[in-house]
Amino acid sequence: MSAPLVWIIIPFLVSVLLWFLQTKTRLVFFVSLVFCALMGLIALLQPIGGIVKIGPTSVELKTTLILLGRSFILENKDRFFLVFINFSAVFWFLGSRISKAPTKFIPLSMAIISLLTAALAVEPFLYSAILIELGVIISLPLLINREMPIGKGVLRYLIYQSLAMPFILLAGWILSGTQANPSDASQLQIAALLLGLGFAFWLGVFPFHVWIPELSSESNPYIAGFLLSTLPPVFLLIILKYLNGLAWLKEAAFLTPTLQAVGAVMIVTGGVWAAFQTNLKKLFGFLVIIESGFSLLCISLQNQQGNELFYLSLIPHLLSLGIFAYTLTSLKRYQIEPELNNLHGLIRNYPILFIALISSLFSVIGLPLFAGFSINLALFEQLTGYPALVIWTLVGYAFLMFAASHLLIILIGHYDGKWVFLEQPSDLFFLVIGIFGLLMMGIFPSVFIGGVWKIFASLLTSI
Amino acid sequence: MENWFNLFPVLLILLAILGMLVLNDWRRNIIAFAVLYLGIFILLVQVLPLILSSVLLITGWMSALLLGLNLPKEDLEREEGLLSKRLFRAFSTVLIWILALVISKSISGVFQVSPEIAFSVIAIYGAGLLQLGMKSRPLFVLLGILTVFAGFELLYSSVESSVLVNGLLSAINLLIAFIGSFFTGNQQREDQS
Repeated sequence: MSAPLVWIIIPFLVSVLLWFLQTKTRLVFFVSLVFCALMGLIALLQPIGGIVKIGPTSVELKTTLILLGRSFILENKDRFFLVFINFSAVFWFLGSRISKAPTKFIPLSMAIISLLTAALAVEPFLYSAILIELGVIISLPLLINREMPIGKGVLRYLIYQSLAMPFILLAGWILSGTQANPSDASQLQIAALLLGLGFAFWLGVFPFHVWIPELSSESNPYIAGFLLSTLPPVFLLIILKYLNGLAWLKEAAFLTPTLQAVGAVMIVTGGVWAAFQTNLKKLFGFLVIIESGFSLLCISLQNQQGNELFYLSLIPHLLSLGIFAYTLTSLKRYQIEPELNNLHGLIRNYPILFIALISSLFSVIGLPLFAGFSINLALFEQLTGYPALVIWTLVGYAFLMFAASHLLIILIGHYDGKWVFLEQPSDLFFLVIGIFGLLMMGIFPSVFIGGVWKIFASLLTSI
Repeated sequence: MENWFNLFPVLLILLAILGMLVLNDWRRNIIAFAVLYLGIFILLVQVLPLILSSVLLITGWMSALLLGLNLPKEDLEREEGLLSKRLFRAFSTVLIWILALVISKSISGVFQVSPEIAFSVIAIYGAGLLQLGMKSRPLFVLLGILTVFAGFELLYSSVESSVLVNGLLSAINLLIAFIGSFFTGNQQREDQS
């Protein structure tokens, strides 16, 4: 038995099975939850390459699976990703029932997750572009349905993600040629340019970012939340894998300034547009851009601390974006248009809902007492050698703070109605746990984020 | 051009590109797309085994068929100032051809392909981007993506003969065409309602 079989092939087959059982929503919900939790727990507890003991029988969990001439390799250092992606699936599936996500959400999401895992495992790793494209195409049925017209956001999502693939594959072909002659600087420069363009399309770097807010404004917020919180971390992990696999790229003098500039541009542009945004769904899209910029800044440090910060930031980022997407879904269920004009004084009717929304925004900004605070602070400490970069990043966050303050003022503004709580108890359960999680991570970072990090660090370093 | 015979597929490709960008009729666009793949096949068969080139041709034609299956009964676009739009698109296409002619030599050097393939790749890729930028209806956008992929496949298949990669690229093409077919169904329902 091999690890790729366990974390790629079997989940894909289960997703196909669940696709045919869509009508039995309760069964699909519980099976997917148990299955993903099991996959996450196996990744957490079982070293890859070791022996799995099931009763009297023992099976070796091999690292490699050869499929159609290509190798899929999952090693112990990939266990962090496996734990993260499977538990994030549990996180999203848990809220799918109450947020009334379409029945195809769970099967297709599982298929996407197995394809993304395959994209990280495939060798040569440049083939990951094809697998990601397949994942993007599989995600399209989630975003379109027969009742709604096809929006520009979905089309642009497909266009930009599809344009990335040729660049990455061509870069891979050039790089395979330069292995014979690594001193060919012009070929390496072309490869770096093609890789950069591919990643820019994938991550939605300015000016290729338009699809992100458009997609989030047009689609079901829960589905957009799942896609926009799952795809960028995978792209960033692939970037990290490329950097670790291509020594010349890692040592290139232009890499750090480029990553820093791109990261800062994403934070500033995301922040500025967020400040002038009147639609909460679009605001969510800009939060995703800001989070991706933050992660790029972490990666740009190119040291142990930078990598740790990147991995650590995934958890508060996921929680913040998850809560934001969940509140948007709840607003849709309460038939409240997520436009600022419609939200005047509504905190009197939906206090927990809007406290959760504001908390997730504050966490992304990195305000004290919220989950993002310790991570942002640690990043700024690491960036002390680059004052201009820190200033630009702070400018971006200041604009986002303006957006959050504006929203808060509108929510507590004048309202003719009375204090009547209209929230459903099921919503309160999820939202209170979410707010509690954000606060606990912010107040006791060493206990919660640090504790999780100790587990993940052991996974990343275990051989 | 070392091989004068290649003028024929290159001209075929250019005509198909021009047709796709200038014509607004959905049926003719699909036919032009199928002709584009015929031109690509003739160029590819000189550098790739016949079976692999045939796979690409059949995939392209199947994609066209998938998109054509759901053809709307009437032309989708009825635009004002059609002639000026067509002229503008034709002029833009010619500009892309000039650009392709200028840079095809250096591209053929980087990717070690013949200049006619390099020229065709840039012309097709550019036409696909133009289609994506100039047309907003989902059907044409999908056709634009497939055109971009056709240009990319011509280049990539010329340099990489891996069966798995070519197979996966064909699968992606077909999936996009399938999605396009779904879009068409949606579009028809929208138009009817």
